[in-house]
Amino acid sequence: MPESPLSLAVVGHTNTGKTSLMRTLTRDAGFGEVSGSPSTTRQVEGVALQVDGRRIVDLYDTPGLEDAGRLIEVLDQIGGERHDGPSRIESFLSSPQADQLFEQEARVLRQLLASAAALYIIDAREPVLGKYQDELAILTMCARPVLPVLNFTASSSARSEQWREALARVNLHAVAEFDTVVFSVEAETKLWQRLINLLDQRGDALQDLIAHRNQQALFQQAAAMRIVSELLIDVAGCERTADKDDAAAQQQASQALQRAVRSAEQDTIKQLLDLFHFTPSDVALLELPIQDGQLRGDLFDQQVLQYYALRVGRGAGAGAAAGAAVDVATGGLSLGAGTVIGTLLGTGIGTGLASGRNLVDKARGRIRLQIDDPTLTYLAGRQLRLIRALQQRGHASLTPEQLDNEESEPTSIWPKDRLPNAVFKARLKPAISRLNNETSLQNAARERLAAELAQVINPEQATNTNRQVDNGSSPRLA
Amino acid sequence: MERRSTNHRVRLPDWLLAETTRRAELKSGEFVLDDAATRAAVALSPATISDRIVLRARRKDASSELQQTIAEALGGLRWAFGILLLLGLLAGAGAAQSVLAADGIIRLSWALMTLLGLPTLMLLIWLLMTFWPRSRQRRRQAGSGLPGRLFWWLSTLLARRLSTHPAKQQLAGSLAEYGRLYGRRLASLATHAFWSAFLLGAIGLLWAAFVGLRFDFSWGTTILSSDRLQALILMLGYLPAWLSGQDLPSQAQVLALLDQQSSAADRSTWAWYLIAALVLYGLLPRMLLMLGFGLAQRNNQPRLDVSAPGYLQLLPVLSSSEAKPLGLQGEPAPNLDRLSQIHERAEAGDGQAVMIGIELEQKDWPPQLSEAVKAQLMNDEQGLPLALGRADDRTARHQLYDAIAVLDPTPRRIIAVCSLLRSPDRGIGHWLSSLNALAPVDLVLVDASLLDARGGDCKSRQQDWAALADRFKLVILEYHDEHGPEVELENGPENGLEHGSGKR
Repeated sequence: MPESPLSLAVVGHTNTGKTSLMRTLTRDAGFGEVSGSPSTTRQVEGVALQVDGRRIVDLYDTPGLEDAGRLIEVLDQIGGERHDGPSRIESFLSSPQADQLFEQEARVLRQLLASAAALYIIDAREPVLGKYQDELAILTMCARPVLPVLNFTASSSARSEQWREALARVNLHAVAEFDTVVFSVEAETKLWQRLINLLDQRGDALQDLIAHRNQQALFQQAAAMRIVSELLIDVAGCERTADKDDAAAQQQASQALQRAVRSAEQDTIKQLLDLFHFTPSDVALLELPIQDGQLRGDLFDQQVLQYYALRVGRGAGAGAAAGAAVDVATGGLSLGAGTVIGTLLGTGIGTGLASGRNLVDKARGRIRLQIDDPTLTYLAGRQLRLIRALQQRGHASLTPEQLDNEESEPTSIWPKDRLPNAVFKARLKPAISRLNNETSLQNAARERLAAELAQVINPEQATNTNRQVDNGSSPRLA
Repeated sequence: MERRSTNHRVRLPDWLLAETTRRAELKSGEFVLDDAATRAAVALSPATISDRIVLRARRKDASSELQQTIAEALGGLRWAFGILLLLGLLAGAGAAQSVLAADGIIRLSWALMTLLGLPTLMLLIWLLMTFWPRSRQRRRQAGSGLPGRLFWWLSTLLARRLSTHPAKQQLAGSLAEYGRLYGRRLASLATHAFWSAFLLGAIGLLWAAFVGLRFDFSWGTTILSSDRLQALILMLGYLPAWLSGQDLPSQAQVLALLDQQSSAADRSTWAWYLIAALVLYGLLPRMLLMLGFGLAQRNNQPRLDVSAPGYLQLLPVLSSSEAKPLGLQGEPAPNLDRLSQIHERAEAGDGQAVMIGIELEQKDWPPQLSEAVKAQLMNDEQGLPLALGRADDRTARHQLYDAIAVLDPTPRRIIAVCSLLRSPDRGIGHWLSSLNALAPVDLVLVDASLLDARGGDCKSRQQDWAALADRFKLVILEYHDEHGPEVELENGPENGLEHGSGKR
C-alpha cells in the first residue's frame, strides 16, 4: 500500500522567503509570486514533490504571519486548558475574529493543523525580534513538529548563531539552514534529513526523495557537460574557407565564422537554462554577463582575447602552444598560427590545423579559418562558469549575481592544462561539426567525441571566481 | 557510472524507437513539444523519464510505421541469428565429414585437432580479446568474436536493405549505437552460439556415422615419443570417461591405437572417447558461455541515455511532473483593508513631541535625527522630541502606549523611528494606528544603506512603508540614513517635511 504523502506547511513571518523556498524546492521559478514586499502570498498554495510519479511531500505555501503579537493576546483571552494548545487554536478558528482581523493568520493555522509538520522560515539576517518569538509560541500551540529553516544564511549579515540559541531556548533544537538564493544539493539533503529526524516514521519516502534529488543533480551535471561538449566539438571543428589573397573574402569568412559560433553559443545557453529549469526571462535576473539571452562581453572582443592568448600561451604545453607545435612538426607547411594572415590577427581566428587538407587548399590558393585555441578556451570557461552559476542558483533568486568573466585562469579549464584529445580530433574532422554542415550525417562520431570530452572537463575547475552573495559595495539606489 | 540510476531500462524495440525518433528530430532540428504525443506523455506521465520519452515516441504520427520497421529489423536480427546457427551446424557437419575417411579408419588425433582444436583456438582468442587490458571504450568494440561481428554486420545490413521507411538511415544509426553500447554482448552471444552449433553439427554427424557405419581408430605420430602421447591420451580421456560412465581406455588399448589401429573390440571405446571429448572440451564451455550471454542479454535491457542531445530538449517538458501543482486552497483572499483596524489620526496636542524606536538595528538609543528634521521641529517651536524608548516586543509596546496615553498635555506628535530593514507588517501598522489615535504619528525611516548592503531593494521597501503609512493614515517624515550619504529619494526629505507640515 502506498504511503500517503507527507504534508508540510511552509510558514513564517511575512517576506521571509516562504514562496522562495517553494520555488527552490520545486525547481520551478514560476511558482507563486515572489517580491521584496510583504503580504505577497495571500492564499495557501500547494505543490507535490514526486519521485518517479510517487507523491512524497505535499508542500503548502501559506500567507505570512503579520500580527502574531495581538493574536497571542487573543488566544490568551480565549483561555481554556493552559496545556491544550490545539483546542485553544480550534476555538480561535471558530471565533468571528478568525474571519476578520486574523483572516490570514487563521489560514496559516488551519493549514498547519491539516499538515504533519511545519517548516518555519526565518530570515537569518533579522535579529531575533519579539514578534518572531510570538509566532513560534503560536505555532507550537498547534502541537505539530516545527522545523525552523534559516534562509539567507549565505549572507554576510546572517545571524545564524543568535537564531540557533534563541530557538534552542524554546526547545527547537533541530534547525536547518537552507538558502533559497544560493542553492546547494547538500543543503537540501540536510533539510530533508533534519525532517526525517523530527518525524521519524516517514524516513524511507524522504530518503527516496533525497536519493532522487541527488541523482537529479548528478544527471544535470552530466547533461550540462554533454551540452557544453557538443558546443565545443562543433566550434572546434567549425571552419570557413576563403581565397588566400583576397583580404575582403577573408574578412567575410571570418565574420561568418564568428556568427556561426555566436549563434551556437546562444543555443547552448538556451539548452542549459532549460536543463536547470530556468527560463530566458530569468536570465535578465541572472545578471551573469548575459543580456537578452546573450552573453555580454563579446566572445571575439579583442582585449579579452589578447588577455587570454597571453595566459594560455604562458603555461608550458598549454593549448595554444600545442597548436603551434603542429605547425612546427609540419615544417610550417600547414599555414598555421605562425603564418596567420595579417587581416585576421587578434580576431580569435586562426587557419586551422587540418594540415593534410591544408596542403591541398594551399595548392588551390585557399585558406581554412578556424576558431583559435584561446577563444575556444575562453568559450569553454564561460560556459562552465554559467553551469556552475546555474547549479548554485536557487529558483527564488531575485538579486543579481556577480560573475566575473576574466578573472579565472583559463588553462585550468582543461585537464593537464592542454586541449583535450577530443578537441584536437574535432579540429581535424570539420565534417562532423554541425556548424559546417547542418545535416551532418556523422552524428554518431560527434556524439562520441562530445561524450569523451564531457568525461574530462569539469565545472569545478572553472570556479576560482569568488561568488559575492551579499556585496556591501556599490550602492544601487534609484 | 552514477548517472546510470537516472537512465532506466526499456525494452529493446522501445529503445530503438526512442533512439531513432531522437536521431530523426536531431537531424531535422525540430522538436515539436506541443503535439498530441508530448501531451500524452505529460498527461499519462509514466514513472520514469525514460518511459515518458518512449511513450512520446510511440504516440508520434510516424510511429506505427517506424515500429513496424523496427520489428522487421529485429526480425532480420533473428534471421541473421538463425542463418548463423545453420552455418555453424553445416560447418561442423562438414568438418566432421572430412575426418570420416573413406577407408573406415578415423585418425583420432586429426579428428580432435579439426573438431576441437579450431573452436578452442577461437575461444582462446576470444578470451584474449575480451580481457586484454585496454581503454574501456576500445574494449566495448573489440572482443566480440568474428562470427559475432559478421552477425552484427549482417543484421544492420539487413535492416538497411529491407527497410523502406524514410527513417531507415536513423534506424541504422540507432542499431549501430546499440551495437556500440551493447553489441559486444550480443555479438559474443552469437559467436558462442555459432561455435556451439558447429560442435553440435560435428557431434551429430559423428554420432550418425558411428551408429550406422563401422570405423576403426588410429593415432599416429611422427616425432613424438609414444610414452608422452600415451600419457596425453589418457589425460585427455580421464574426464570424459568419468563423466560418460565409460571405462578409461586401458594401457593396452592405447598402445594398440598408437601402434597400428584400435582393435575391433575397442571401437566403441574410442568412439565414445572422441564424442565425450568434443562434448566436454568443446560444446560444454561454449554452451555455458552462450547461456551466460543469453541470460545477460535477456536480463539487461538497454538504458536510454537521457543526457544525450535530443533527449535533453524533451526534458523541460517531460520532467515537469516532478513537482505537481496542487492548486490554491480555500477562499480567495479578502481585501487587505478588511484585515486592518484603522484609527483616525488625532489632532496635534500642545505637549513636547515624543520619539519611539521600533525594531531598530542599532543598539544605541536615542538615534541621531537628521539636521533637516531637527530644523523642522525647532521651526515649529516644538523643541527636540523626548526620547521615550524602544518598542521591540509586546510588553514594551504596551508600556509605551500606556505612557503616551497618560501624557498631559498630549504631545504635538509622535516621531516613530523605523528601520527599512524590516518589512512593514500589519502588527506594526495596528500598533502605530492605535498610537495615531492618541497623537499624530510621523515616521522616520532609517537604515537604507544597511538594506542596500544586504542586497535589498530600497526603493520598493520605501514604497511598502509608504503603502503602510497610507493605509493606516500615518505620515512619513523622512527617509534618513545615518550610515550612508544623504540619498535623493522619491519621497525625499523635503517632500516628506512639506507633506508632514502641511498636514498639521
